[in-house]
Amino acid sequence: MSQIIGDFITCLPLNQEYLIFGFSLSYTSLQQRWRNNGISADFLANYLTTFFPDNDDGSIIAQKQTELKRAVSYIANELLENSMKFSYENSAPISIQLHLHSDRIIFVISNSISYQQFEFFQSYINILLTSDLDDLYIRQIEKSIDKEPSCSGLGLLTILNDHTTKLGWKFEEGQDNSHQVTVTTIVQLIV
Amino acid sequence: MKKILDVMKIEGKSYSVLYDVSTATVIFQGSLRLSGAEEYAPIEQILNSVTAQDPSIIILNLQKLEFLNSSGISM
Repeated sequence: MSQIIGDFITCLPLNQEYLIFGFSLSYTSLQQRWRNNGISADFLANYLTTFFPDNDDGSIIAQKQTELKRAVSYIANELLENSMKFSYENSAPISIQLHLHSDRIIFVISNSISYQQFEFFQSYINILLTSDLDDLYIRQIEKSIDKEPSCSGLGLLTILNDHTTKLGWKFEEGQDNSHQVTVTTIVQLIV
Repeated sequence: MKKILDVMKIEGKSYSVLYDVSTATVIFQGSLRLSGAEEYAPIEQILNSVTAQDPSIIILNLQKLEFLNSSGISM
């Protein structure tokens, strides 16, 4: 089973500037690993500022650089937090990639989830892609007030609503009756 | 009085949340990336305590809050 939803790029355009991180889920607890989300997100954002595209005349707008840095840090942090929280126990390592292009920064993150999580996630994505985002934002906030379950549902929503982004997902079922589904999330941050 | 002030201040490794009674201001500093509602509960408790005192104005000072994840936005 292989399913694609949203703005997914099956063949990433070639480029020279990219980073790839991998995180094993086997050796430390979620609580111990959690701090690495922020460390990694901030590193990715700081690293990319070296290569931010500049205008034809060679100038870099400092404010735009700061905005992009914050956006990269926020998006990478949310993607890593989601992957850490929702990954199938002792599954394959989580990998996150950043690709820098002249008009966009592309985040690619892969992790394994259970089939039950896949079904829940799939229906949430469909709501995300078909709803008015401002209305959905209010509804999710109200749900969190009513103490509905553990996740706020705001991570992907704020990536879409607060930034100029496109999101896409690919789901691939494990081949060995492992009851796991590999989800690859692509976020394109338009710069 | 000291006990009330102790309740109204939380310091984590990378953040602090403090309620300044004199100005009805909750001051957030640092980077908030806690993992969910359970970890944010102590901070939420401060906010609930502030609203329970029913001030006419509550100020949230976020000027020195460098990062807030979506779980924090939800809180």
